[in-house]
Amino acid sequence: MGAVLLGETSKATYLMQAFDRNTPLPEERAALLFDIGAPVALGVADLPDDTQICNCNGVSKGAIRTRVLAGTRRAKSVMEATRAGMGCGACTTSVMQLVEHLCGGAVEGDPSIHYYVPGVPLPKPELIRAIAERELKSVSAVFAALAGGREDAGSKPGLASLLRTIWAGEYEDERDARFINDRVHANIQKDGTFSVIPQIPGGITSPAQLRRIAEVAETYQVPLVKLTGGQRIDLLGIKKDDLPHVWRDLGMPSGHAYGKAYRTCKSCVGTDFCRFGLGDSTALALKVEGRFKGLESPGKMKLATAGCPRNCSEAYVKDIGFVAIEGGQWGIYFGGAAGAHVRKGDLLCAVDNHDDALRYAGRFIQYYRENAKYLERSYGFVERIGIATLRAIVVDDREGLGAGLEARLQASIDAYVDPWQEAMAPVTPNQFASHIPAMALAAQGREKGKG
Amino acid sequence: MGEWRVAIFHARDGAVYATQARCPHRGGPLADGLMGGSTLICPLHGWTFELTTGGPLMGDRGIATYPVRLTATGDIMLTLDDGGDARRRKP
Repeated sequence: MGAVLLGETSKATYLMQAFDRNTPLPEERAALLFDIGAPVALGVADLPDDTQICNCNGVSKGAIRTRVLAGTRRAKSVMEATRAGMGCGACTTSVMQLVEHLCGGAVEGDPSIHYYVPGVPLPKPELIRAIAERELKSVSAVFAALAGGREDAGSKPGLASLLRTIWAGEYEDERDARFINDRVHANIQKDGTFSVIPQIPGGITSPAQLRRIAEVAETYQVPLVKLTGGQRIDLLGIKKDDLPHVWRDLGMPSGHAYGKAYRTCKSCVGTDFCRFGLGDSTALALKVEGRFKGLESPGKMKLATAGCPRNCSEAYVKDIGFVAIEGGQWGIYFGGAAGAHVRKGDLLCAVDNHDDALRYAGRFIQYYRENAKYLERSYGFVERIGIATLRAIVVDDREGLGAGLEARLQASIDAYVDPWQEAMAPVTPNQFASHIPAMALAAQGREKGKG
Repeated sequence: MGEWRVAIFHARDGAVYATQARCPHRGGPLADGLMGGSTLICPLHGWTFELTTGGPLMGDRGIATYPVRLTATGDIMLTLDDGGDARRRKP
């Protein structure tokens, strides 16, 4: 027995589950194919216990039920104990619904869900105010002033991100508050080696650049050279000790492919060569990357420009997308996504020049940096705030926030430094050491003792 | 330490901890983890450990810990299971 759905396919999952589990059929048989009135989707309450709720960590409904019956009645605590929702986070809503259902609706109230980070008992707006008023410029200062001096490991990266956003060049950088990726400016891999992705704006390279990358790959015997979804080249399997040498030999700036920050602006070919090109997508992408490279943000930001609505660079499903349309215009889209979550961006407006496109993108980026929860991607933020409100703030400047947003954004842009410059001057001794042999340390010690 | 790898942590409050080098989950490098107070988070998948006991805070296994202290001259004194002492200059 089988079926093929053409056109309206949203019921495919429901049909497969109904078949597998002999679910009773709905009275209105047409509801098998369409949602008539209220959707007849399978809620978490109806799922059998062996259903895998969390695919990243393999957590079943039964495991969650066991935890709740054992007395854990806060959704966040259940997630921490079972690891459900602690991977990509796509199942978080299902997990929370399930916990609520299993508690008979009587879930324990958890004020910490409103905190910006769990270790400091303040929601983001109050936290920002306290940081500004008390001039707290380091993570340790925040813990001392606002958390009774108690350090919380998991809160550190979020606080570091917020402080750098607020203070820009004045931020007091404490290296122990950085996640490893941000301590060594590379993405840690499963075996403790690292991935190195240099900046390749607009996905445009050259024979000389390719030759240099190839030489580095050979010199360091890089196990895997791979093209990325962001239109860049990835050197994988690089030992921590080799990182500064690789950067020096590449002579290219960091692509920031590892942190909670602006990542890339992809581009299609556009009017440079494409017969369908309506706008210069490569030029705009280069300007975008030049302006926003490496900016800290609550969640990573992936952008794209498309030279026409065929959208070869997938600009509709980016945090910010720019799509050229007939008439010399660019449609600007916010809040798209094409990862664990898929969402088409909302249209903000159309502009007829690059400068306005950059200005609106910049205002949105700064507003997102200042108002989103840590790890809240733009697709969640835009849904939460609403595109109408964002349009009022970014385009119409209805609340008069535009100038302030632009000024604070510019301060951060002005403070930008390519982190791979640390190849020339490491910030801490042993920053890139994968291990420190005891005898070498002792010898270093004896040397130091002499001097 | 010869073939033996140990992760050593120096907290902001001055405390020193020593643990096995690899995470019991998938072998992640614990020395590259995130530390706060006496809590350590493995960089690969977020398994979390209490450094005073080695007990798991998130994840179902703990880690071995070794007695360690800083001397007045800044050396790290580490006691490993085989009964030997190791003297190392603090980096």
